[in-house]
Amino acid sequence: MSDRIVAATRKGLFFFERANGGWTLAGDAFLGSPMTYVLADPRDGMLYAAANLGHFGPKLHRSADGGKSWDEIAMPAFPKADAGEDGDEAKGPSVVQVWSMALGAGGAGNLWAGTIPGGLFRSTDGGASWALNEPLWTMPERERWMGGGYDQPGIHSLCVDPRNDRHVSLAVSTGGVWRSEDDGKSWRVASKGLRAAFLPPDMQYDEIMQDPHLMVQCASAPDSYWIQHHNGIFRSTDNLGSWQEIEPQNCPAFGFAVAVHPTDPETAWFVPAVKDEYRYPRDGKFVVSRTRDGGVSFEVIDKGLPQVPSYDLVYRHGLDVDSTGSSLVMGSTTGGAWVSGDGGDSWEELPARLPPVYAVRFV
Amino acid sequence: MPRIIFTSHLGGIAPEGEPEFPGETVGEVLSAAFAAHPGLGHYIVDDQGCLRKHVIIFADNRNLDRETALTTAVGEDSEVYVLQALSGGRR
Repeated sequence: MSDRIVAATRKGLFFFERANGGWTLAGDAFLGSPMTYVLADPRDGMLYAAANLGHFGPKLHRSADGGKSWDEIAMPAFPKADAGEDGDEAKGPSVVQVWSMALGAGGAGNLWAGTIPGGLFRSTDGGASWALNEPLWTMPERERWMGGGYDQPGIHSLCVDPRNDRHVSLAVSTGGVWRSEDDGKSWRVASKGLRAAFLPPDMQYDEIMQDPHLMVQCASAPDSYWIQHHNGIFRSTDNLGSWQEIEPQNCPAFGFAVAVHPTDPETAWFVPAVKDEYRYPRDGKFVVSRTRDGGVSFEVIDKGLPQVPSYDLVYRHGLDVDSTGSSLVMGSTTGGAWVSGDGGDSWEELPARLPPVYAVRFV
Repeated sequence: MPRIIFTSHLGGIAPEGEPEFPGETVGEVLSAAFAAHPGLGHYIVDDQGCLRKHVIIFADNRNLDRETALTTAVGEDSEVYVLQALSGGRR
């Protein structure tokens, strides 16, 4: 059971710790700065945090002491573009935001970073330097990726297979799911069965036009993945060979976040909202939905969640489950944050009114 | 030599005061500052070396156009202010 949470918010990082059965605010970092992602690397105890400064661009920081002190590290960056044929200055891509990070093969210090606009970067030295993954960036299909939520496409989900860390899957808004089985040397699309109902009929199953909002992989049953998609909920049980659409009967299928139980691939949590042009809890009632039977049925849970009209929205990285599956945490765009110690049966509010929350993680 | 004054928002990252750096354009002066202060450049320019969207530069009390700011000529007595644009303050 995890006893420490970090929330990345529009105004800094906030740490919560559990002691004597209750959670307390135990520290902060980067107060005032928009923080977009956090990653803990248990292989060496490092904590990584991504910032997106309003004026001065995206930044990355690293802490070796659990968040007490921080060092700025290198940002992933696109190579400088060549000048155009007529001598015109070419305007190549520039990283707008680090949207996801994951632990790469090869031990401590090996990291993946997914960015807007759709670049995947690799570090082998704990973020002291980064290299663009050229096979993904230069594949012709990438040119069909589009912005989803942001002006440019972005990689928000990175799943590294616990059985073989050279098997990497990623999800793109908007660009579908992509799979590498050689540590990023080659990529193939893996979106079969995903459906985008808002597209022209003949294009709804186009594998590249999909907008998965978040993809997660079950740690102990890694052939099982869940996606909270712009268009609903999808599940794969055959290691991304295909996806099946799941249509909850008693709650909206729209949302951003999903968490899968680490030892039970049938169990997953969502934070539903009215689709897709509205994005607020149905009837102003903020709830969590949970399936424990692979999506056949869903429970709608409100115990411990606000009983007054609430318009909280949980973004894609705003929900996390710990390594036991018993503790969950979520944070909302209106700064609410709740924790559950009983697998989502009930929730309690963390003792702070936070800035808008972009990501929460047990660390 | 031209002088640069960085916004106080860059405290701890940019040099304080009114340090002088060599160069005949804003871009050259900034490059000299970036070379002397590793890690600073990425706060001001993007991956392609272009001025960030929400950074604004004044040279000799003139608000420089973002597209041409870095190629703007400066003289021995020029003062270059590197500031945050209010357009980027929404966060």
